Amino acid sequence: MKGDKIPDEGHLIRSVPFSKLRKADGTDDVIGILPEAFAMRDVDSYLSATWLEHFAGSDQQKVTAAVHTLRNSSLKISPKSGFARGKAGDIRTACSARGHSVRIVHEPEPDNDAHAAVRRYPRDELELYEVLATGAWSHWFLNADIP
Amino acid sequence: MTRTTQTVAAHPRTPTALPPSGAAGAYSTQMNYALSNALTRSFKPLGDSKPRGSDSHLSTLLENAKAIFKVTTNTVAMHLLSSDWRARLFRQVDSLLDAEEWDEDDKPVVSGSSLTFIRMLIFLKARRPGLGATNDGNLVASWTTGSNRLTIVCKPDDSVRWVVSTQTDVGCETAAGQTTILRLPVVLQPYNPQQWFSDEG
Repeated sequence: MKGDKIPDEGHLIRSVPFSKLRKADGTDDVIGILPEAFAMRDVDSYLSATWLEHFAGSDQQKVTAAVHTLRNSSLKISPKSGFARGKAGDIRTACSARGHSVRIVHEPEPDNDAHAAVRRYPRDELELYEVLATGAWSHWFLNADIP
Repeated sequence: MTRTTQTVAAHPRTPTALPPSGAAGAYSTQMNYALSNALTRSFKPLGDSKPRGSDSHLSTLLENAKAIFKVTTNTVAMHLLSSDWRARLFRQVDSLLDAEEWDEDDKPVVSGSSLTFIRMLIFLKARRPGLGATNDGNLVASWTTGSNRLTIVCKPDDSVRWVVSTQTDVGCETAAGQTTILRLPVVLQPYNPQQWFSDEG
């Protein structure tokens, strides 16, 4: 239901454009996520993500359904883009450890029923973004990995 | 320029002096009419003229950003970086600024960031990094050695933001800060920066 807190054991995936994927030195080979993948734009008041457990089926089926939903949304999901996956509880803990009591809530949007918002999320906290990119939100996969 | 080149050859691993930006004079004499137009268009705020969803407008802005990056690099570093090194870097930039991949809500890379980026690479004598970009048009250089990561956001006027994460005996350690190119070797010293910068050709 809209406004419900995403449980700690729930998972979030976030779309990451190619420009915010980490590449091996001197190449275009993707090896991870840049901290900038978790930065908000100036016009944003929360960080957007998609709640995986909103979808039915096995874990892989949920991931596939979430990616298909995002591909059909207004977001630009390009061929070389990727996704970051993290556990809501771990994300809360990482933010809390740096003094930010975020709220992760289910906020459906017209083109994404599984949309989740990370509210009270800090702006301009590069070190926290790096902590997320290397820890709580560090699991990643490419758009091309999903049929 | 000659003096800088000689210093680089004598001390290949030690940051010395920043290369001259060379921007205004070189641009006024070397850029052709089309590129000057590209610069003019790129300096306009994106919101002024961007029709929402216009792929051709975005493509033009990205092509301008690529051209400015390459001219800046060749102007500042023609005698400091080999043509092969620059060609590989340009391929990375072409890939980064590919219109098919670029998020249209992100601002294309600004010229001041490109200048800071290339001056930083020369000053640090760093191997080519992985490339990225911020939402607001700054280039991101990243170096990764095992699980040790260095990420530097290049802002105009030699300003940089940096963040490090390294594995230590007691787990993962992170640090971040803002400084100028000249101060980078000092602020990164505790993290053994040569692990990220040492030469790879």
